[in-house]
Amino acid sequence: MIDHSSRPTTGAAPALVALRPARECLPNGLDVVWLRRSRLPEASLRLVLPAGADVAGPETAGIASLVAKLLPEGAAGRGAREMAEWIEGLGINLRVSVSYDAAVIHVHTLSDVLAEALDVLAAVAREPEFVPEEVERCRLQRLDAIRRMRDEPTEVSKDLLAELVYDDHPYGRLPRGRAGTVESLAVEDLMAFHRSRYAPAVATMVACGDLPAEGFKGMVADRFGSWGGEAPATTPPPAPEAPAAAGVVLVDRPGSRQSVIQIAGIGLARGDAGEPAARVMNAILGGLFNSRLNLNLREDKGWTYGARSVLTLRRSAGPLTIRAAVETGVTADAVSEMWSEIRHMGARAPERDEMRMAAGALTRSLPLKFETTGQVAGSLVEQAVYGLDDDYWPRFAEAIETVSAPEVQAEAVRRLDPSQLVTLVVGDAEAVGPSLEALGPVQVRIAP
Amino acid sequence: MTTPGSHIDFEFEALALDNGLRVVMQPDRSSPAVAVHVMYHVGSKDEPSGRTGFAHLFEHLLFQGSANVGETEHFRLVQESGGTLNGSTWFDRTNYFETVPSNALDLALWLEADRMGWFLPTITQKKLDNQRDVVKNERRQSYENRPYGLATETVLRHAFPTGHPYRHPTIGYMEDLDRATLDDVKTFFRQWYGPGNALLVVSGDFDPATLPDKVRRYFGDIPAAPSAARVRVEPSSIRAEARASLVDDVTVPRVYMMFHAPSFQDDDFETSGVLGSLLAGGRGSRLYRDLVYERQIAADVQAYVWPLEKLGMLWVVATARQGVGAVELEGGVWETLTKLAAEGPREEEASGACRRVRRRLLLRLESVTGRADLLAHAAVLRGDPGYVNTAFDRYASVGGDDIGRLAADLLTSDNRTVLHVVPGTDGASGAPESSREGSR
Repeated sequence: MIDHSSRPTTGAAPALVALRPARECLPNGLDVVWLRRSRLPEASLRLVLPAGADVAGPETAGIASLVAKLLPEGAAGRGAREMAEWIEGLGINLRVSVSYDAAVIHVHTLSDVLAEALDVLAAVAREPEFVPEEVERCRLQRLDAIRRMRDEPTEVSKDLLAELVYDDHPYGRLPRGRAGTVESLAVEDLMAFHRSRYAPAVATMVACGDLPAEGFKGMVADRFGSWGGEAPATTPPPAPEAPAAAGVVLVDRPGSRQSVIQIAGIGLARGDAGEPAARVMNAILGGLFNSRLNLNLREDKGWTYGARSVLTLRRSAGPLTIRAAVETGVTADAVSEMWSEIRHMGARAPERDEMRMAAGALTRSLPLKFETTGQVAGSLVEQAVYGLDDDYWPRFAEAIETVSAPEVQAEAVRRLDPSQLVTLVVGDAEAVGPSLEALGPVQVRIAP
Repeated sequence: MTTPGSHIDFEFEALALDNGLRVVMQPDRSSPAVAVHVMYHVGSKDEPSGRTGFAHLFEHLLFQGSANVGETEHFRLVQESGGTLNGSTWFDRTNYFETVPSNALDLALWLEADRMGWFLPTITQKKLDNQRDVVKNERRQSYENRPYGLATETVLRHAFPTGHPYRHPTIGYMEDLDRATLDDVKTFFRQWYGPGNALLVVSGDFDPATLPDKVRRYFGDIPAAPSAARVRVEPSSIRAEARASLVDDVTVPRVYMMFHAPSFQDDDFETSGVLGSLLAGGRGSRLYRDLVYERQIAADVQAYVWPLEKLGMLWVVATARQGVGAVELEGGVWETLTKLAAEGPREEEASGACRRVRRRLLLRLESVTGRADLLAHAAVLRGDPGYVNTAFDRYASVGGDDIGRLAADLLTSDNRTVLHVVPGTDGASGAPESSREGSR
């Protein structure tokens, strides 16, 4: 038997082995990237397109997302229901996601119908039909979804928070758009968006799983080789300007049993020189379970189920958001604790054990990120969207390891300037208003 | 190339220690990750009366340290080593799991052994009070302050008679959480957390030759405990419709329809899963096609089965389009269900649903985390860890006739509980009648 009081030491961490996928470019410019994993009879496919939400202007907010929603709703001569039954009959999963940075068509399939899954993918990417009656049905669904955002305390404020932080920058409008713009998008606008953004020379096809040992490129070429059309390379949106802090903005949601507190500012772009230090800073502040925010608000005070911070890296500077849902009665106390943790982050360099925890969590977790076909495909998509080469992750680990505590403090000073942060509370204004006013000016908004 | 008709074959070995701990070891060295999963055969259905939510509150306490692990160390040690971790509580079981880079296997085993063996000396009233507050906030965040968040527990309360072990939700009610005492904690640990009531699964990158000794080293000297008397659950013989409605601060109504269904141990369990997928698994499924595409009265529809030990539940949940009422929506759902029950499925929709369920099973088997989870559930709730390999083929053997037979059997009005969630903000919106905290 052993002495249980002696904690086992961990040996050398497993090496981080870079993925070495096969890469080919078809004559029409379509990049094909694939990695064979034949452990189980399934495969993950992705088609990446520069058709994200950041290319839409204020009048067309929501267009990228509505186009993506319509891709499977009738394509290549099959109507929407026929299309749905085709996909269901194969048992495959097809979904299209739209972020600010890109549109991605995701397919997961049993590998015995890999060829058919590629047929589906080619049909929806190349030949969506935007039949007016389907457009109207999907538009109504989207408008319903936008209306239903008011039901969720975290969703009701998303649009407002984006606007408060980013104003009229593209990141100030959610990818799903607003009721007014979604109502006004014409079928021709959708078709034109598709024509100008979905083209082979700017697209990347990613695959991982039980692919044939030979001939996968041929399977792709058979279905995408004749794909034509031109699309301009997209440029990231301009760097956003910092918001002016507006005290506390309170969205009234009468009867709320908790207040959702969000404190947000502008973070940084993917690839920014400050990225490694900012990631370490975020891990210590609220990215890990044992972060300062969570240990304070949850494990010490019991005010919340969890407090965290999220650093969102995009092609241009995404937000740094600190949030917690707290019991209504402690709302103002929680806001001031969160502010105090934010100030503390910039006032002093982190402790050594905090640095060790953050670096360990950020780097030693990397070898675990390439286990499933979905994880591998996701990582290859990330490389395609942000232009990262196959040695990116080992380099990333090195960069994190060399971050120093004073660099983390400097990043906190740069990204967490209290005069450039927006504080948004969604809760019962009657219950929490007076105590919040004791902290400073409060602007009350009615929930939509 | 493996074809989907072929067998899934994850080799594993089982072992039992002298103190009663059962162990399942499933080596897979294809990725440098290892999952350590401990499942205790106790859940919310085993809670003493007046203590709803206790099994879950207890799960929180087990992260608060043990004789050799400091109060906030568990999460820190695992995350710092690059791992992920969590715990979860459900009706039938409570589990604790970490997935770590393979160099941290010993650390994970040591952490799990320490709290299995030496939790009691370090539990305090302060820890209990703190985590009680955290759990109450979890209830507020995930149930009370969330649209439709109280629907499921309302259905359960109407579907089962008073005192039935599956009648209350795992999260529990506020007043019962308030009642939990330190003595309850100690009694519960002694009753349910002995090694004889636990299963350890290790799946992933480890050396099969040395693991048995390692497990004995860390877990072998945990004292055996007397086995607990289990709660008795009569097989579900409820044959009466139950109906309820709930006012909630939401934009559109939602209809919940819960059908009593085969348990996870039943031969028809896989058929019930395929039936759920056929009803609402995707855009081509029955309910989605009828209600979202054709009639356009629903914004969304879902169907799922719960893999429970002693009984089963098949849920159908439809969210209304703007301007559509709950009565009309329920009528639409019912028309589709009764048609399927009367006519059975078409062959291609049955095979598509079957393929979809099998594909989803592979998503779970793909990672060491998901595989350890299924191994543990299969071993504890079915007594058969080999289900991890046979499930894929069991689903493949489900045919259209099976689905038609089960649909006709289950989808009847006297086998269901129906809940309408309707928009409104008056009074104690959505507050369960048994919750003081719910009213304002």
